[in-house]
Amino acid sequence: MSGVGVSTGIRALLASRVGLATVGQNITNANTPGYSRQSVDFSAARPMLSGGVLVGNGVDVTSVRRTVDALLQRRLLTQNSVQGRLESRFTALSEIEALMQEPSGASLGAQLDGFFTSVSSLSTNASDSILRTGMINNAVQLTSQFNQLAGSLDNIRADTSSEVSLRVEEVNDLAREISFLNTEIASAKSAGLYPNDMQDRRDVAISDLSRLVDIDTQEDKTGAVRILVDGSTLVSATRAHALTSRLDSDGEIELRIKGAAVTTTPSGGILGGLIAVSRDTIPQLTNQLDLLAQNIIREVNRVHSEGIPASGPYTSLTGGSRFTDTDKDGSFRDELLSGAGLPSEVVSGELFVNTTNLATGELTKTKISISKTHTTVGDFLDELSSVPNLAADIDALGRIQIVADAGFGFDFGRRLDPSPDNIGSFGGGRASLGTAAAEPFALSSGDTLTLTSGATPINVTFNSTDFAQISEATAEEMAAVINANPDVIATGMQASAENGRLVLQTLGTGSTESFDLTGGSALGALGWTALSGATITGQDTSVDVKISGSYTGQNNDVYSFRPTGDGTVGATPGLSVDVFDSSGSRVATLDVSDNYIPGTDLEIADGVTVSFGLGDLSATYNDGMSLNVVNDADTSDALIAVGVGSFFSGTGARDISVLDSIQADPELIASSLSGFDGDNQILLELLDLEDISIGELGSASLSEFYGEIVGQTGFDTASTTNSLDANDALIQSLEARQQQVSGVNVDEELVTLLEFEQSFQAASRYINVLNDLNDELLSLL
Amino acid sequence: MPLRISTASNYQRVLSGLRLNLSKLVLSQQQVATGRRIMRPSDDPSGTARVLSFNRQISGTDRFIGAIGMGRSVVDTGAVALENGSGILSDARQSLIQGMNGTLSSEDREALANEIELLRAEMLGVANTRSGERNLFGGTKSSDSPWVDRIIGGVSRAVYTGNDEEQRVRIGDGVEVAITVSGQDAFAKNDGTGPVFSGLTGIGSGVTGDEGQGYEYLTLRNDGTSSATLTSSGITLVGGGAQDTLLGDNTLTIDAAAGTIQLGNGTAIDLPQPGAANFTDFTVTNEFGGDLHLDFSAYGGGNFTGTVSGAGSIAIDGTTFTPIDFNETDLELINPESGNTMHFDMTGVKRAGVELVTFGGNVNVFDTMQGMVDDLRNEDGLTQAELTDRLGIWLNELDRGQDNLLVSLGSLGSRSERMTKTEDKLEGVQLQLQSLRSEEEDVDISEAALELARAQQSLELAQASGARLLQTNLLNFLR
Repeated sequence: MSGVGVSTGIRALLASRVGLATVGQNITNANTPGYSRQSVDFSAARPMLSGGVLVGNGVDVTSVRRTVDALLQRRLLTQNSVQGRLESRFTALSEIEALMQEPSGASLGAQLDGFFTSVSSLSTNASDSILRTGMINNAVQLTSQFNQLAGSLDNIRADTSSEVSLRVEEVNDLAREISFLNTEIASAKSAGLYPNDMQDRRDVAISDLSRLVDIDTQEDKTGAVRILVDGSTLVSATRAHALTSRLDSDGEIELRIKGAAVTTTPSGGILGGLIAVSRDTIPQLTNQLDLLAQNIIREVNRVHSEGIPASGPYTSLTGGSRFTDTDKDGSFRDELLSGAGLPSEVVSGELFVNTTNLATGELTKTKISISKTHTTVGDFLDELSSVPNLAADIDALGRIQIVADAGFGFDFGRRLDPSPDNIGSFGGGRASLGTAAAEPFALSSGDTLTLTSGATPINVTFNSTDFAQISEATAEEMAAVINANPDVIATGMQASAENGRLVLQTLGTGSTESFDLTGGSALGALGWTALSGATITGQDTSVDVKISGSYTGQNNDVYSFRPTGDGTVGATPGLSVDVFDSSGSRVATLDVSDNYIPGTDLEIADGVTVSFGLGDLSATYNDGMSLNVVNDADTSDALIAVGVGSFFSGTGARDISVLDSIQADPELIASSLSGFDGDNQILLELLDLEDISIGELGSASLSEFYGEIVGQTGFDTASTTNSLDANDALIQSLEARQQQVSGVNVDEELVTLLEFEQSFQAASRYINVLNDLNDELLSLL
Repeated sequence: MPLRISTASNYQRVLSGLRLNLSKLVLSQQQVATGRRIMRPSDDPSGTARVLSFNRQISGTDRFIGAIGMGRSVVDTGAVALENGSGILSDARQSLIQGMNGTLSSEDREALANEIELLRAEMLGVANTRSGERNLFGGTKSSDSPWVDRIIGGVSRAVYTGNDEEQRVRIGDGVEVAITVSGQDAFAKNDGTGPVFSGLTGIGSGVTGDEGQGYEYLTLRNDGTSSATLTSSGITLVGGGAQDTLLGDNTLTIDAAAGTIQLGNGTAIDLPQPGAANFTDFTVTNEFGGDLHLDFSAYGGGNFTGTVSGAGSIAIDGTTFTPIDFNETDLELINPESGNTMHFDMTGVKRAGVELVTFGGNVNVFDTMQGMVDDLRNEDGLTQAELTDRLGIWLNELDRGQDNLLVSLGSLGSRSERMTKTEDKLEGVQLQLQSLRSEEEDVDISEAALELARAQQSLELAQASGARLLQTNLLNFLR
């Protein structure tokens, strides 16, 4: 009997002791991070059979358990990863936002603005050297800002890579700790123990890890926790695998777990955030900046290349871009112009080159055709070199170089040729006979043309060997055959192609010059059958044709001028000149009859005016001339591609800069459209660039696009901040609930302490009583 | 069931409350200190977008205002110069009117010619006015002086080397204003109406149109007189017509009964009497003033009607003479130095002399004044009436030049006004934009100060209540 009672008492004392010890543990660890409160499980001991009845045997301590909500834990791990990702994203975005220095500051937007303002100032006095220098300075500031911004973004990206390496080390440290704890916990559990404190420690490590990278956790039966990152095992039941980082061939960060077949790409956690910043956020921004820089370069150069410096046409120009020898055969000439590694596209189109005699001011306009699929670099150089008084070649650095002969200058402006009748086929002094219609001419092989000049008969025969397709002979081909005839040369005659028509002329001028159209089988194809036997004479006064004005039409075109009859300008009643465009529709009819005072300006169309001087015109002999009216002097964009006549050079935000030659000599700013130094038309067109919508920028203008870049960064940063705040609140509420379950409340523990104190006191009282009873029993003996 | 709250979470809650209130207070303070509501784009992304758009508009307006300022000073300088020019032309007109007065002596006229010569030089200076380094009246050729004085055909002519384009500045979206007028328009506008003759010799305009500008002096001379029938009257020519100035076919009528002799349609004058001093060298004049010298020594009396013809030649440059064909209706003469090509009708020519022919409406003011100077110096031996005819031509050209100059002046004036009006409007727009931007970007100080006070109060309340909560402890009550 005594054994029963005393053991109950002793059991009670022991139980209370455990309880008190647990309370002590809880109180001392109330503020330990990650500590989950422990509580003691009591159960009544197995009753004993005593005297035919089951008598209780006291209390058993079943276990000391920690109180944890596993589901809550998992949710917190997820939100931790989100927090880590948002935090690293926010840090990067704030830094980028600070770089932009908006809405007020020395920002890229302010410099872009400053550049256009300096253009506007220069436009009020195009030949002022101080304003020119101002424009260059502002342009240089703009390009420096681009370079700096691009450089800073590159730096941030590099810093991100460094931070990734550091964090990867942290991940590996935590993985090792977790693996060690796994082993310890598994062996404790296999011995049937509850390793509460180690489990707490492991939970803390996993929580820290989840902040660094998003993980999946799986607890197995042995109590070990396996951790997976992006499907690959980081910590297995037995060991931790190392995570490595390196830069791949594109400079992107690549993470890989040793022993895994694929790379690891975390989407959450600090690492996930850093990688997203390095792979997506920053490249997107640098691409936007590059796009903005490229379009500034292209559009400014497009306008600038069609201008003329205030000091007059160029005498030599070197391109800003280099040709690439794409087929590596040591020569640039055989590359297609559109495939020679130039920074922008070359398309099929035409390029107008003007050469000016600097002494007389005489302008010659030459048109070069460029084909995207056929024109090689060599073709392009040859065409440029065939322009009178011009030579083009490639310099040692692979850049195009164009040089004019001494006394000549060149430019690519769209101004009108003031004297377009180069060969005098329109009321000129030469005896001149032209075809009525333009090419092609339906000749047959063996056709002849017979002329008589002075007393000398000239017989020209056309053979199919001289033509690509003799039934569709071009004027140029026919002129070449005629000019090769030794009699033609000897008698001082020449043939020319004029806008697709064939023109025969004497070289000399004056009323004494003449030749006869004697005959020949080619007359039919040339439309000269009615003129057979005619004598064509020159005249002493040649009609002085002067073109003025600026073409305001939308498309490049060719105007042909044909008199409606024979007569004298300013004298013959009813005499007029028809002007046709290249599609054959009549643009204007100009009255040069006796109502006309020679030398007065007549309007043709679209801003082009012409005046005719005294002289005779002949419709019978098909007088005619043509005028190129140009809206875009370079529809092939070849000039922009080779960087000739450019203002900016570079391929993007990192290397955009103002051309060295212009920085050295501000007078090379091509501000003039007409070539006169007070003409600011090109500058006014540059001003337009700020607001025109550009297709590549999504139809936004330059300043709108810049605003979009800033706005996007602001939105991203603001939304990240908002997400951070929201996630913060969520984590706080989850942690609060966790504390609800696992946190220590000191007041609670104090109450429990009292509880155990009293039960301990009661148990010792009970033992005392039992002892007294025992003593009494003994005193009876 | 009441919530279970752990001690640690107690502290956590109080801490986070304090942190929140502190950060609000810090933000408020920043706003008040900087005066800005938006310090970074993320503070208000759409607000930032609006601010950027305002910035762009404001700087655009600034640019236009700047351009107006610079452009208007050029316009005003040009206007002042043209006003000067107008004054000069008025002075020249006065001198010219005086010169047309018949009672002046040749010294007086020389003095007037000198005056006008000085005025011409002044006028050239006006036409070459610069603003800084820029020529105002040369079109878009702004570096070289546009009006150049050249000696052409021995005469000073002013040649325009500028062009007809205008220098423009942009004062609004798609709005441009020209700040210069072309020197051509101001001083040499071509209102070409056709050639104008002083009417001295009877020469007229040919069929074909003329090419050129300014004026030419045509020298017609008599190369000899002849008459098939004159000798029948006994009258002979003096010296074969060496002193004669008549040209073309003229009818000579002697009315013995009335005692008059008439040449062509000239005045019928009395026949000379024997013994008179001019009996052997009598001058009879046709309606144009062409002279015929006759010797009456062998005059037999009686009527006579016959044709007396003066052969002649004409030169446009004063040296190369072409014989005159009096049937020619379209004689072409080209002055190689000036480049003028003119056509003449010779059928009405009745007199030798120097004929002034101008391209009517196409003489610039400098050439007009030079013409006035040369004619006042009367180097061609004209009579007063003939001189007045000549000066009348110059008067018309001068008046026309003054009118054109005033038109240019007026257009400059209206441009200056327009620019000022635009500037006022732009400045108003600027103020509006700036205030709109400020509304967006700046913080309302009174609101911000209120917010600051409120945040501070919140913080203090959080601190006080937190302290209360944290100090409550069971230990305070256990013995």
